[in-house]
Amino acid sequence: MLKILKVMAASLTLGLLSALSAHAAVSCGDNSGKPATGEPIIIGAITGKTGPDDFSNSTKSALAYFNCLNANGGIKGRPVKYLVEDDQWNPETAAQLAAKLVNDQKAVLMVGNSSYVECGANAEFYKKAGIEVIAGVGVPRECFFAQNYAPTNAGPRVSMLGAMGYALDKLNAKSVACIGPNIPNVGTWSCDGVVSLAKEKGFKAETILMDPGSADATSIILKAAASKPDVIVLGMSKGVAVPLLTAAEEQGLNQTITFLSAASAYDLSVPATIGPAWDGKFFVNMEFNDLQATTPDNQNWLAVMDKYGQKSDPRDTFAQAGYLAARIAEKALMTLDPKNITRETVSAAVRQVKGFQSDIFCAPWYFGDGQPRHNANSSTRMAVSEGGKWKVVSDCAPSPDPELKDVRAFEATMK
Amino acid sequence: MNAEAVPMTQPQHSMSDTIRRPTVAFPLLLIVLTMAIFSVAVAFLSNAFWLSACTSAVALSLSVTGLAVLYGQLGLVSLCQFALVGVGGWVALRIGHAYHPPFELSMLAGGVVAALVGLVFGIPALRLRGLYLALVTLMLAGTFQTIISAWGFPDGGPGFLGRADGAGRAMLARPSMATGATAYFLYVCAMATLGFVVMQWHKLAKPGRAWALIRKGETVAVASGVNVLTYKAWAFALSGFFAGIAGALLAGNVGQLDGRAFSAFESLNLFALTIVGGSYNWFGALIAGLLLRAVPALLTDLGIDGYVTIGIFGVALFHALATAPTGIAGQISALIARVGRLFSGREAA
Repeated sequence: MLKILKVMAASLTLGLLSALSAHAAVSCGDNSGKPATGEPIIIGAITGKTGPDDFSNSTKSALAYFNCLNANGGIKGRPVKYLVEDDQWNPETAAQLAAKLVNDQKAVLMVGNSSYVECGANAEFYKKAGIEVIAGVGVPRECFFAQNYAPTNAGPRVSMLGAMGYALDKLNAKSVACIGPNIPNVGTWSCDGVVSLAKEKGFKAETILMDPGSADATSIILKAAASKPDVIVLGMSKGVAVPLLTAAEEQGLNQTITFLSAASAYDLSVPATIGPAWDGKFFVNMEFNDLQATTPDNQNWLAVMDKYGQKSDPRDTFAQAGYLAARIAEKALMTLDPKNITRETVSAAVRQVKGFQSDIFCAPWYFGDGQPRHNANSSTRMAVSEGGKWKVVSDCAPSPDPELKDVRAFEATMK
Repeated sequence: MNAEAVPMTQPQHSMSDTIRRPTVAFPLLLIVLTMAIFSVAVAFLSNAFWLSACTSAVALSLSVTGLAVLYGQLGLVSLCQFALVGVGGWVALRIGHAYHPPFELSMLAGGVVAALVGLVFGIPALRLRGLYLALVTLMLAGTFQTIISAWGFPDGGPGFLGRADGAGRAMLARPSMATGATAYFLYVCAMATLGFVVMQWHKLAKPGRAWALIRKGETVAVASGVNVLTYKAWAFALSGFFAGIAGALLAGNVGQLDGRAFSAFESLNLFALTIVGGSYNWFGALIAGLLLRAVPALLTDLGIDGYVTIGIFGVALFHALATAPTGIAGQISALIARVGRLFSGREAA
């Protein structure tokens, strides 16, 4: 009964919010329009900006939200000072920067981190320093297996298995070939998930690992197609996935095999790039809501980006992740007495976060107090390439990753 | 006094200057003294960020000192030094996680294996020089890049590769006497000082003279009774050994290493900065180490894009090649020599 009331109250507030946002357009902080002038609260972030890929969209978006927050009363009058550092995809640099932010700058919290190397390099350090991380985008396994590190995204494995679950339930797949990068704790981790699900559910699975830097797309695709799978799931970034799809089309494989991908290939430009030959043939998993969704919080994100971000800041899923991380941080900080904001009080407040609602998430986000690892975002949607656009084809569904058993068990205790 | 020590480190002089052979002890003592002042100054002045950056810098300067012997003493261009750092780091992590010995043992194991691999990498050098040797060693660095990006570094898991598949990655424990950041920095400085001293001794003593002869021409060296094979191989092994130690020290700094940081480009960078730092003076290695880690750290601290460093290094290399082949260290030692002559009065004329 109480639960029903809660849901009703939540939907009522959401409805009210959306009604408000029609007028105010942007919602953050106390929406007072008064700039915060108190003593700044130091929040840090480490992101991989320069290197093989630019991962900094998450922190750009978080910065936009904090700017918005600071312009609207801040945390009960205290503005957030958001310090973002570039680890250059180098774990050594990542460790140096963590020391700088945590020990030298005395950050009380880390928000929006998104880096390939940072989780592994710094997880232990964060634990020792007693600082919590509400990360934006976590990619390697380490980001989801650390005590003080909770990403807002689902991660490549959960996302890939989300796609796999869709293939099993909706496409009636009986056999699969998984193509992942040969990067330890990323590609192997994801494809191992497909294999262990295959063991559990009794379908045929094969793994092909490739070097994303130097690979012949055609030979990889032919190797994957050799076992005549019903579906092929990709765990590659869009820069590698698109050439693979092109090679598959050249071989006519799009006619016989359905291709699916983890969220790493979810980018608005992909459907138009791969062309009409893939209409209804290429499915992608989404860690967050549709980028163009007209739901209130997604619209608020876009409005915040327009008003407080740079024009050049990308509006992609990484940016959604950073926005959510910043909002969760705001929620945690708002529970505190502004005179008593220290690393200890902030960490305690962050650990208590649960039931964080946003229509960008599939399910309410929680930190998971006392849990040795965090993967709150584990329900995902699917979209299909159609007419040069992504068309969302499924509702939120929990990822069937067998490795999520501990997470599911914890979630059951929260209810 | 300084003026006396400096010309000895330059190979041109060490050839002609055989009449008045100065003592070996003084230049070695000078290294210890300089390093002591440097390390204490850094330990007192820097915050956590700079301490971490300087620890990496000093660790890497050990690998530079190996490269400087190959290039400065023998004139050989080896472009796989950073790969050897990776080999040393890999072995140190593997041994450290498997048997949990004292840090020194893991480090020594890393050094020894890297020395052996360096020896193997050096085999082409017995026949090749110049561009061909550079190409072959660069390809070796590329091979290492491919292997390490697939294998990754051990982080406490089972099996040969030692990858942890269960809980979070394990960290390599630092030496028990130096677990804190400052203590570990001083530890790394002590190791580097030891390395510099060993290398400087080599340059001043018999191996240095043999290397100088080999550099003049192998026929000359053979005619003078130098065992070319042994001394060349020794140089490669020594260079690999110090690269391996550097790798282990780097691993100890963060507690782990990452395959992505060991691309072939890093080896190129290391070589370029060895030239910029100066490969004829012992402190050139320290300068190169600081250039490698402290300059990017400075730019990061100032919020400047990480790509800028590559451009700066390129300009610095061009400058070094065009105007100062002895590198920054050579220029500094020339300056010291000039000041020394000024003070000693008429000798300047």
